[in-house]
Amino acid sequence: ETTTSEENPGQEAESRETINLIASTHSPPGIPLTLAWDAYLDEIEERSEGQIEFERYYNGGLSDGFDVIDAVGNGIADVAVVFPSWQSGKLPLNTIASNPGLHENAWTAVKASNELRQLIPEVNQELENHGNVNIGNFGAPPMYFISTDSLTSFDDLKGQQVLTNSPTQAKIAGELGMVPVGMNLTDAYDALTRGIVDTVLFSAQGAMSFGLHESAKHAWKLPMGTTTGLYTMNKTVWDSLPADLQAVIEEVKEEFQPESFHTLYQVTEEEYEEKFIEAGGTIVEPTEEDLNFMMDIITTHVWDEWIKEQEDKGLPGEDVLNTYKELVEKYEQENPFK
Amino acid sequence: MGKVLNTINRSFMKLELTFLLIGGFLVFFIMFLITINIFMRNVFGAPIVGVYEMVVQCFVALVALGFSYVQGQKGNITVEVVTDYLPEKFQKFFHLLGYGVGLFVIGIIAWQSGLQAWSSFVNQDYNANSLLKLPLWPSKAFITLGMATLCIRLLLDIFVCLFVKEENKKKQDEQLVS
Amino acid sequence: MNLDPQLIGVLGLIVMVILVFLRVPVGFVMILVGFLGFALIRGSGSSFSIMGNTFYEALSDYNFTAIPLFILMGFLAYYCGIVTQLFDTAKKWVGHLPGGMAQVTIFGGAGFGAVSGSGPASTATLSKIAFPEMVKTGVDKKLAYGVVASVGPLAVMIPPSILMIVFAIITQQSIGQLLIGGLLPGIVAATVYMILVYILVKRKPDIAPAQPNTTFKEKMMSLKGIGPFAILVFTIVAGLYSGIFTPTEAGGMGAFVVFVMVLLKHGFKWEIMKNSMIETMKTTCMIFILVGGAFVFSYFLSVSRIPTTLSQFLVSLPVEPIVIILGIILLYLILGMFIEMISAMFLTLPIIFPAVIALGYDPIWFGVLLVFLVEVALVTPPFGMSLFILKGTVPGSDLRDIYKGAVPFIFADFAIIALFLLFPQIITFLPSLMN
Ligand code: NA
Ligand code: NA
Repeated sequence: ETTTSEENPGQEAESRETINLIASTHSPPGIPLTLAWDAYLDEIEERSEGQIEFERYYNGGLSDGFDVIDAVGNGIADVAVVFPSWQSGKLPLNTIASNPGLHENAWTAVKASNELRQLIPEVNQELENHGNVNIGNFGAPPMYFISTDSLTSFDDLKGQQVLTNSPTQAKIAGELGMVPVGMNLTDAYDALTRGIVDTVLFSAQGAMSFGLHESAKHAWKLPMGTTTGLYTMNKTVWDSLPADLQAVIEEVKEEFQPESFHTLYQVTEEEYEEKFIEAGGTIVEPTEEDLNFMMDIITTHVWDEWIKEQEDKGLPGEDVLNTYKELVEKYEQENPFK
Repeated sequence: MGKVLNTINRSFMKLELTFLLIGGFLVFFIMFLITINIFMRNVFGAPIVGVYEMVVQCFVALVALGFSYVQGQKGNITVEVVTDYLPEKFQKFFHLLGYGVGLFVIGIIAWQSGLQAWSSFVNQDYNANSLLKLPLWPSKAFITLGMATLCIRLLLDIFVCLFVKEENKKKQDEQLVS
Repeated sequence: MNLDPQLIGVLGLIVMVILVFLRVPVGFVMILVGFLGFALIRGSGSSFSIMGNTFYEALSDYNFTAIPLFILMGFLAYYCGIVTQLFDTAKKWVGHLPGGMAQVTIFGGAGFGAVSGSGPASTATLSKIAFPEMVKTGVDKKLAYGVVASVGPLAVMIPPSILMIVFAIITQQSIGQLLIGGLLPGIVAATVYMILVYILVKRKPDIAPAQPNTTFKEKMMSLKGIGPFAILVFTIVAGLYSGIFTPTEAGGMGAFVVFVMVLLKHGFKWEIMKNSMIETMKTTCMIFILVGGAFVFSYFLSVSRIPTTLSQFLVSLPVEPIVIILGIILLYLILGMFIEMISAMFLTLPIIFPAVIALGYDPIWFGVLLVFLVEVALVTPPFGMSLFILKGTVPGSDLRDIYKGAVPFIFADFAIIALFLLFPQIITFLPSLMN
């Protein structure tokens, strides 16, 4: 139950009732994505001096990840982790950061996503159309090829069966001469151990949490897109919050989240890469030449198509992509963790 | 009243059986789809694109198509552990209570899932996370169809329970079996 | 409404039990109580939205699609006589032993677990094909119910197992270790069931009358009856383990193999196809009304905070670790009587799992123990999916008989849990070899 103090927004903080909000994520507890979400919620509870408290539901206990913006819009949850690409095409512009080759690290992605929303209002408008307000953004480090076979050149990729989960990944894989195999992630372990697929597209931590490193020992770090997401709040709930608490959430989003995400995601990913190597794996960095080849494919077959798809819907796709790219470049310069 | 109801009931059972058999064909269809895909993947290294999504959509549809038939055959799970010991005159009440609860909740589901299917149709929602951009509304619409059919079945059950005498029901069942 | 969510939760549970005992279909009751309860706690708008979404959300899970395919495989195998032949052979070999036919079902059911990754599929298949065969040879119905209800769920212990994989991911454990960790306990559980049947039959021989003994020649002659079945099992096991198809695809492949056998043996017979389709659909749809209802009800129970409050209370108790473990087992046994266990665990694991690990228990051991508790919940009255599946698939079955039949096996389950507590090596031995 949500108790709010909308009647007395000016009331003194200490005499207000605690606001209990339901927080939902489809992700299981303990993985970096969820740890970052928990850290964010903790920070809001702390900075609001206990005036906001979250009741937390994990692992889709309240709503699975698909169409979760509707769950928030309809008040099933008050705040939630939203993967824009899982929302049945309802948040086209918000999928911007999932495009491969755009950013390399988490801090930059968070900063760029936050500022993008201020520069181009259409991005947030998509959320508001479904009764959601943006209260946080993240972009994980990119996924890459992890395989049972040693991969060091584009020739090695040809004919490999690769487990793909999005049209974009399938498209790039196809362009590289690989065979995309659509499959349920719960089948990934068996599929890889028994050789039904040769290659998966994951980060080291993703692969290790699915146990895939037991059979796939070879990673080639060509960028294949990334997990990006947002945190949203039900709009009615947001509007009912006193201005000072809204300000607390804005602060946490701007000041706390980029660094927290760096620590909990980027650094963990690096630790996972070390663990991957300890477990007998090898990680090959792509050469400049390889990267350029890959970026060519990404630009013509993914970015251009993404833009076209948005423009066909009358959305400012080109503007969003170019702005995001410029913001990433700007924040790459400013990145304190480089 | 009883006679008319029996006629309606019998035609409706034919409809339910038809739906059920369509569902049955879908089971065979996904069986072939999966087998062909295994064959294509292993022999030609060319799996069929989007099998995984097609199987899920067919599965949603086939389950929805059978709900009403199961209720018509009184195949939904009930617990008679207590009611069997209660006098005969209460039995009709329990039947009506069960149908009534069913009609209430399934009615809401039919209505609400209908709204969802419609919104998916209008907004052209698609499965963005899959290799094929399959629209979502057909499988959502199947849920609405299945639930709506189940509603009519429950309504019929209520009328039959109220207006058809026991002996007629038995006779009717025998006719259906033969 | 300003009622405390936990109070609403308790009232919801009470209303659910009353309505179910007033013979309202279980699926409808779970939806009703879930809908009203959620509305009381979170408002009617969100509750309506749950009603519109949940069935689609629940059904559009690829893992479920294997269920109708395994069921179809079972029915096709039944209608083309594969199962009857198999039981005839078994009768000639072990029918003269005490409880021979029931033992065969336990053995075969555990074997079926090695090709099926899903508990409900396995129970439904066994109840439709093995149950009648047992009864035909004079096995007491109650005993037969108990055997099928308990052995079917073993499919989630014995690899492949979708549930084990889900648990490994949630609890961040090695999938490989958890999968292999279920194998020995699965075999131990099957063995305990066989011992139980032996004891029951020794005490009351007429619940599973011994079949006339046969000559060695007859035994050998009968072996050709298992040919088709052997081919089926070989195809699935070989295909699974050599990487030709995945566990969820195995159902489709298995059904196809039997379909071809039917064609070879009988040609295309519309009657066989039609009957298989009708029976498969009836069983599948009966199961999924319950699954959908369980989803709606679980959302309500989640927001009532009962499971989380109970587990927080449990792990904060200042007592010996073993007492907390026993408390957790008891908590899950009680929760499992009323609600769908898998969602109950998603809810409570974030609290319970870290606490158990902090107490020094082995995560793989605890994971496998949990999966076994899920299985026990499938067999405990009043709400046990395995029991309901039997009720739905065996014509003219009486739930009271099913409950009665399940009781000795629930006691066997307690014995199995005790074994896991006393000899954790049963679970940890095979995974430890992988390190
Ligand atoms: Na299994
Ligand atoms: Na139970």
